[in-house]
Amino acid sequence: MTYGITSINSSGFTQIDETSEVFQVIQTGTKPAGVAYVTLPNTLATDCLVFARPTGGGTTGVKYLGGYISDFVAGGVRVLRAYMTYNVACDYAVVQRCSLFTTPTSGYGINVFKSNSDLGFTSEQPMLRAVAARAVNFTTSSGAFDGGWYQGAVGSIDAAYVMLGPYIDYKYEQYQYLGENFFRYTHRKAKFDYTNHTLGTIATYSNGDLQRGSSVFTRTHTGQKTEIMGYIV
Amino acid sequence: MATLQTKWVDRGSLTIYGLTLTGKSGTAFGTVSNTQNGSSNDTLDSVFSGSSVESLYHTTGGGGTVSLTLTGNRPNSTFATIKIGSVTLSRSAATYSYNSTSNSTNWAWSVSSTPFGASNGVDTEVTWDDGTGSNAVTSITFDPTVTASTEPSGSGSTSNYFSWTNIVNNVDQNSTINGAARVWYRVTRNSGSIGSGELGYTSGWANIPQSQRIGSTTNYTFYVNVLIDDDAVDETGRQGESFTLSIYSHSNQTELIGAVDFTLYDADFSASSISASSQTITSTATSASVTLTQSQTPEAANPNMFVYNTSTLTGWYPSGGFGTSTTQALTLPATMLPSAGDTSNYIIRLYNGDAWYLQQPWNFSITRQGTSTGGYGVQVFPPTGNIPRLDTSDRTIRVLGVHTGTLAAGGSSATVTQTGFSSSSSSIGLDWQTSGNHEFTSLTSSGTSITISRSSNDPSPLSNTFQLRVFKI
Repeated sequence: MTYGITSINSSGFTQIDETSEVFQVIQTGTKPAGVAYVTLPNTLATDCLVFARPTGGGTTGVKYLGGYISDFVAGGVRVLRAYMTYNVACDYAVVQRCSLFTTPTSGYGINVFKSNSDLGFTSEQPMLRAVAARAVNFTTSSGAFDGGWYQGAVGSIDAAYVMLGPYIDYKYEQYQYLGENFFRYTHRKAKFDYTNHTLGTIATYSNGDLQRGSSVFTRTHTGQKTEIMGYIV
Repeated sequence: MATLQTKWVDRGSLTIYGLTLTGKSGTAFGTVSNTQNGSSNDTLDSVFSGSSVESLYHTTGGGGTVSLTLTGNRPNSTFATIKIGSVTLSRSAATYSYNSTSNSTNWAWSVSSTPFGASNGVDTEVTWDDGTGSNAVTSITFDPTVTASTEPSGSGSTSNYFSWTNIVNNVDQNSTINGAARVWYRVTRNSGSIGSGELGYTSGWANIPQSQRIGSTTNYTFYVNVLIDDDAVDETGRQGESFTLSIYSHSNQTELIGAVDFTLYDADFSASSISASSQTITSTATSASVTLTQSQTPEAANPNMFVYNTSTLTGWYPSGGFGTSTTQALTLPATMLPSAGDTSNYIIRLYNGDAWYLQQPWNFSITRQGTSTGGYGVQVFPPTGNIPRLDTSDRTIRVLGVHTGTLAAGGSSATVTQTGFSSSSSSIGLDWQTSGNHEFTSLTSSGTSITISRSSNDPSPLSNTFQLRVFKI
């Protein structure tokens, strides 16, 4: 190894090496309850990620949070939004690749550079500590729900964030039963169980009636995604 | 106020996918008649000549809706209000629509609780009124914040008290509770009981605060305290017991204002204070025997238990539950054990056949002898505070690739190649989205090729953009 350092965590996963760069925090904020989304600067890189939690975290009780990024062009202008559950106040943090930051020159801590001289890690910039992650695969028959896929020790999820993206409308159904027509959305939401120190993913539903004669079908969002839980420090 | 026509709905019900419909719908459930407990007669000629009631029901979907469907294409006029039991609904407050496919006309109101009472087979009077001669009235709905509950004192306990906050919304100016000091409530047990001696009913007065008795208030909040005297017999299969909380007029205890169903579950399979001795295994051990002990004898055989290694996050390892014993021996395989020189901490959770019901950090640890061969990362602290910015057990998210593109309307897909990607790798993560509706999009992969597709079912004529982020973690 000619450049940087290699650091491997206690479970064998690489933390820092000379070939990659970490995501570090560029912006934090709060989305109040009663608001569907926050608009992010459209100058952010396309590969930015957004993490969120119910505002302030918690120590007891259960809270649910859904959310995702929406990145589109309207009228020739790029619009970047982070959607979070409408009636839940949320803290959020936007992370971007480390090389997009100006190299800190405080004289303290460490800067680690990649072999192409890009900044790969700096101790001067807040970052997302990924404490737990799991790959999920949505299929037509499974939304990969698990009400407690991460179990931590006391206090371990009190301040935790989750990455927005996997918490979307997984399924939309229109069906008919005994002559009446209905619809149902299946929403994926992160479940912060502060009392039992668990993080999970649960399904919530929106149901309603449709006019008689409405079409009958099921649409499902399928494919692989990753759920990540961690801390912003 | 002139009545156009009066009918009676013999309540039927239907439950599907979590929705509960009550009232009358076609031939599926419920009937409409001209007199109480009379024979079926759907005609509504005095309101709209030639029309019939196709359906009139309440659904719990969308926060609660009352839906009236008449045959034929009917104008959004003629009647001013429809009164169902004690609930009066204004036509002007309804969502009106005509469906040419089924040739029927629909009015829908947001009403949180059913106005058709709590029991099937009971008739509710329905009156269509032209609204003349008196002030039009608003609707009454009932919105208690009762949800499915677990008995706080466990199975077999008696004298369990429950307290709920109830809100009666949109109170009719002429309602009997408007300005009242209190309402009458009653709880009845519906089904699902085991044994004897359980709740028959409980009832009493619920006081409405003085500040709400001003006559113009449209939302009333009051509190209900219910004593449920459970028996000492366990449920089996955690089927729950169904109850109905009904609110009646204070002056007439048979005049129903609203009702809601709720379910209580016995806290079967109780277990507590689970512990196990921490142990050290040899450097070459391929398994470890662990004996779990709990302080409380389960009330029924709990079927499953899972063990989780919090150090390596290797997932939940299934095991048989405690059954009806206070101890359970299990053997953890090599995949659940620490590496040489390391220590792993474990947590247990229990499954009752219906849901996870106990999951707490009951830690025990296993240490493997030998010399650790792993590096242990770095610990980085921010300028202030003592919480690490990066700790030795953390993983970091690192860039692997980002891809963007366009998905045309009418069904299309885009395939990208990402070097280093593997769908089976635990150290590769994915995040992706399109600018369209989620339910029309999918992602598949093969080797290092990743394809994002948009269904031809998507009715939007606009092109969608997509972003695919691949990262190492």
